[in-house]
Amino acid sequence: MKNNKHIIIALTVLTAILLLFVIISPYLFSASYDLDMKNALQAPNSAHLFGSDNLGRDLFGRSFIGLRLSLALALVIQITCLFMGAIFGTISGYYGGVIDKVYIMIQDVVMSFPSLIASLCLIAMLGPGIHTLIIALSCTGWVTYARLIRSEVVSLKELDYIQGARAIGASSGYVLFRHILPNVLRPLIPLFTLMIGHTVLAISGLGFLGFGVQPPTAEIGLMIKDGLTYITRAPWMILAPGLLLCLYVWLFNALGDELQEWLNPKKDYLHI
Amino acid sequence: MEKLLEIKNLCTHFDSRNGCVNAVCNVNMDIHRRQIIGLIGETGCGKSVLGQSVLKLLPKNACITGKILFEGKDILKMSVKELRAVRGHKIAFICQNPAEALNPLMKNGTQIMESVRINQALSKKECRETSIDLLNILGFSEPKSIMHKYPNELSGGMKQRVLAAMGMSGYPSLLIADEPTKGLDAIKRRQVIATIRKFTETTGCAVLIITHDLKFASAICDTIAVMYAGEIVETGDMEALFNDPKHPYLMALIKSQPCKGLNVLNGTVCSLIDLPSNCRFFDRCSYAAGICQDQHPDLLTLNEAHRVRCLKYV
Amino acid sequence: MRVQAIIKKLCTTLVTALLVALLCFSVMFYSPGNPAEKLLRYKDPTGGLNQKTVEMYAEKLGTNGDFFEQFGDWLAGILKGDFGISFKTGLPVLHEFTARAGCTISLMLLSTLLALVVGLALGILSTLYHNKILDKIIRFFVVFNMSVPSFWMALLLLWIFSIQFHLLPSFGFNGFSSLILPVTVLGLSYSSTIIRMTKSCLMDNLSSAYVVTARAKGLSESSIMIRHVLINIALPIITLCGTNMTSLLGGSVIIENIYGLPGLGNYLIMAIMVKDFPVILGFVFIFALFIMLINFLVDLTYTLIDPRVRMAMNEK
Repeated sequence: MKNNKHIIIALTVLTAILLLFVIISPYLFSASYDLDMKNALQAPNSAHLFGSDNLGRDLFGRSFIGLRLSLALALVIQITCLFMGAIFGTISGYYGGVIDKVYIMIQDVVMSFPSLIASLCLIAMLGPGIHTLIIALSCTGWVTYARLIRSEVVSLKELDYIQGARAIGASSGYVLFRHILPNVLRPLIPLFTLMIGHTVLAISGLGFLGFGVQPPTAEIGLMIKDGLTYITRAPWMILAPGLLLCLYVWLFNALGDELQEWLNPKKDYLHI
Repeated sequence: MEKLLEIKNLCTHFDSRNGCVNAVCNVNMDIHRRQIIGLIGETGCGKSVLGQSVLKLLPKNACITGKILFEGKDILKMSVKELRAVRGHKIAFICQNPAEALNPLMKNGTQIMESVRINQALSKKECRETSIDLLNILGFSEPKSIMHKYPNELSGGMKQRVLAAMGMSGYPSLLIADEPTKGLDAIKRRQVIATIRKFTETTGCAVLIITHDLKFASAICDTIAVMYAGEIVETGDMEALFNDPKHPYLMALIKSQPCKGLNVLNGTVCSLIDLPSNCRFFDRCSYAAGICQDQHPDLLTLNEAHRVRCLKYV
Repeated sequence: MRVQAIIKKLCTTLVTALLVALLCFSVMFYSPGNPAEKLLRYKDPTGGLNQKTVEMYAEKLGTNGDFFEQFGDWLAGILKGDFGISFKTGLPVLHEFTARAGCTISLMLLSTLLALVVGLALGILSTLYHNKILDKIIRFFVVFNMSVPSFWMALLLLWIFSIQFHLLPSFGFNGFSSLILPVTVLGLSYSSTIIRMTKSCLMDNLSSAYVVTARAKGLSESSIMIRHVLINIALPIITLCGTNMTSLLGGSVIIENIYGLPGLGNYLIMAIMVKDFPVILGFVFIFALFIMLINFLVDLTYTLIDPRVRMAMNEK
């Protein structure tokens, strides 16, 4: 608790270093696209830290390249979600009335599908691919933000200082941007960090089922799916990329958790 | 009069993120049987902490040192079991903020009966009857329907009387009432006075009232202790104190009442984390002299009942 | 008064269900190709489409007509318990559903139970040892657990227990032992949120005024916990279990797929892969109804347990 800020700084630095590594990975591991049938299914060794897959590709390099794609996708998806959530949540929370009722209806409809099944169906209808993946996960993910923002806006707008600002004739736009949004940011920052990790997991889950990124692109879920056939002979094809995925998602989750502790010690917003 | 509770050199501090908060420093206080003593001071002066220290009701990060002798036994050294036998049974405690002091999901009746049951070996039916009697004494006209209601269906004053009924169930010899008039208007305040009077008449107990409401304190207390920044700065008979206040802080408090002209006391209380080594009221005192800057005053005895912590009277 | 509120809630739920049905149906309706074409493509993916056969099948399926006509037909069918016929097996969708529901429901219930037991136990422990080493370990476990993809966890356990040690069956459903691994994976992955929720609610409640009152009465810590606090934290935890059930439906898809369990999720994913539209549509709609039912039950529990909610409802 007392050293929370030190932990946050340490985690941020660690995340930054590891992210940098992921970002430059295609230049470091350009050879990992090459097929090399002679060295197929090698156990982890000094040349291939994570071993090699059934086509002799280096799993270490491929894992990082796959992770790079997942992280980039997660960022795009979460920014889209945040944007949509902010618009829906703020408008319905601030103006209330019929708009709010309609919004609640939409929210109920979206929330009555498990997000994974909804994404699967959308992808099945639109055909798998990176664009569909972004559309599907954005369509199901924005509600998390909208709900949080709406409930915060609803409780904030009753507060005296905001009533006061409205009483002296401040415009709704001014009140929203000057008084309400800065307060909503507090719970949003940890949530966003956490949702990045969450989305990376969802992308890999869809990839694993064959509905996400399509081969031959490197993606961790897809790599694990490929490893299924060789689970008895080459378990590293499954275990190694998964472990790397866990590490990165853990970084984001731990960072989100500490940020939450630091920014909102009284209230836990992260029961997603 | 026989001493009921003796507080000796009581210190309570909390470990917090920003450092050690010294909420109560070296407090000595005696409470006699059937005495009604008022502990007054502004918000954050440590008076509630003092009240909760007596029953060890504070959160885990609180550290209490000193002695609290109740009927000759030190509460701070009691085992959990002994402590539980004192709580409710010998010393009753009424929380501030009655709105949240009752379990929102339990019926009032169940909560009162629970108290009765702890204190008296009675059957369920007898518990119910005793509870109804208690509510009757406290002026509820329809105690049976109150028993069946949930706390959220009662008004603030009614909740407080339910809490009082729970406190009365053990026929304690001491009642600690924490801010019983907080947030209540003048009419409700009269009700609280009536409730406490009823309580003392029924149980014959002594009362420690913690309040910032001077008018309320003057209406009900025999003895007053004034607290400032964790210390007792003046104690004495109620009339002597209010008619002839000695400590500059109490003078200022009395002047700041609406009926005495609402003269605001400027400045803020010193931080409880970095306590000054001189007089804690020095920054706000209109009588401050050079000596006050260097020396920390001790509690001076002016006459048998009246004691004050101020260098003016040395 | 209370009955009225419940009926009102039920009505809004029904409207939502109708909207959900409309959404499902329109996604299916506007996806490329009409149902007859889809059926023919399903039967013979490589062959071309003969206009005559398409029309014949359209007649047979009753899919001539505009959107609302067809939607009405589909909805009327549902009210009669007819969700259409699976392209793949030629059996009624409802039959396919009921044949597989048992497996998924037992998986869901057992996982929820495991998550609840683990979540409550660890949540209570980490509150009792707040800021001590055990609390820190539990917090680390929670964050780590949230970071492990469930399919990877499933494969890891499969590799350890079925392939390395041959302790448990790896594929298919033959009795309770086949459920051990799937339930462990799902139960553990959903315990994280319950641990967090339990801890934050307990911390809130234990420092609240009513607990001070209960202590001042002379109650023991254990009876304060059992008689006073647990009922107060029950409500948020029931809500959480409700939302967990929702995402468990999604989570079970992957897990059933990995362990080859003959459940709804596994069948749904097959249906999605081969574009068996009546099955997708029917299953997704039943899932949505099921989730709405759970939400309704959660709301109902609230009004039963919490007098404050009841009062607010009556005032409305």
